Amino acid sequence: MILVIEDDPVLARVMSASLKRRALAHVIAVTGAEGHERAGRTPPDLIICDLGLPDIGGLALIALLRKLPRMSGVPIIVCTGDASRETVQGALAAGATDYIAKPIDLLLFEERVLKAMRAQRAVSA
Amino acid sequence: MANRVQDALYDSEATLRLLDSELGTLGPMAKASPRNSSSALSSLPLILEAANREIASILSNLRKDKSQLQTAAVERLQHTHSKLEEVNSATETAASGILDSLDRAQGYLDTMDADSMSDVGAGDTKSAELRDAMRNELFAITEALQFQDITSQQIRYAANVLVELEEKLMSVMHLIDITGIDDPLATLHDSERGTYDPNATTKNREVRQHVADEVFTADAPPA
Repeated sequence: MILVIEDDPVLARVMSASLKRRALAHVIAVTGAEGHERAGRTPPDLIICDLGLPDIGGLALIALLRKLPRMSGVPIIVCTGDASRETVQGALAAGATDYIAKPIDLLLFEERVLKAMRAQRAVSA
Repeated sequence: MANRVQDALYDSEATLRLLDSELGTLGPMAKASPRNSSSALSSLPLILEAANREIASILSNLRKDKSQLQTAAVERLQHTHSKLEEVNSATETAASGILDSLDRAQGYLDTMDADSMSDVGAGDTKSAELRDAMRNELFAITEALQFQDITSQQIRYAANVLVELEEKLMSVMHLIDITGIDDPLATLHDSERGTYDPNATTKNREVRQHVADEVFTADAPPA
């Protein structure tokens, strides 16, 4: 199961359409708090996270997610418009494992998601 | 309206310069002789009173123009802010409507796929190819709808600039004792202002992606 944390409703549906194309089960959380709660309840196989959330900064959220039980090895892909070197390095330091610049190239998005899922399944096996 | 405010400011500056000049002449006169000193000092209250009357008159005119200031500046800011919110809402609604249609179109294609499974014949290959081509087009439309996320952030940035302008204008109006702005934008809660990335853009995606990939390749900890 993939957890998508994205507050923009249109973009969330765009990502959802892309994941459905690949038959990838997923849920959408619209706030950092909701994403954190869902991940804590049922650790996902992959998290896709926006940095501009209404209730918490994305980097702070990633750091919090990493502290949840059974979340230390879960891949986290950041999707955001801010791809300054500083922010990207911050995301990496917080625990992100990949970074996709918005507007998302959906073919690249699918490729990176599938790669992360394959790696996660290999680790879980 | 802008000219009147500018004229008022020039008049205020001119009055203050005159005051400064008059006060400047008092010093040397006072030093030159004690008798001059006392007459110079005695004229000081008159100078200050004249300056005060002048400035009070200017401020009074500005206060009379309060309603014009409110209409011309503040209400326009609020109206423009409201229009920007309307644009955001309209584009979100339109994009959601398009996504709904795309979902339905995808469903029809899936139905056609299922129906064609039961048909036998070489002609179906062309139909299958057309359906795949149609899916790719629908996917391209879906991808293009991301504009809405970027533009909504850009619009929220512009709307926030208006809020800051209104705050600055209200500070200026407060300085000259004009109060009573109705429903200032500055009272909007953060949740109403919305989050946004001030640098949100559709431009140079490949360059930005390249920067991100470079960092993750160079700086990522070993697996």
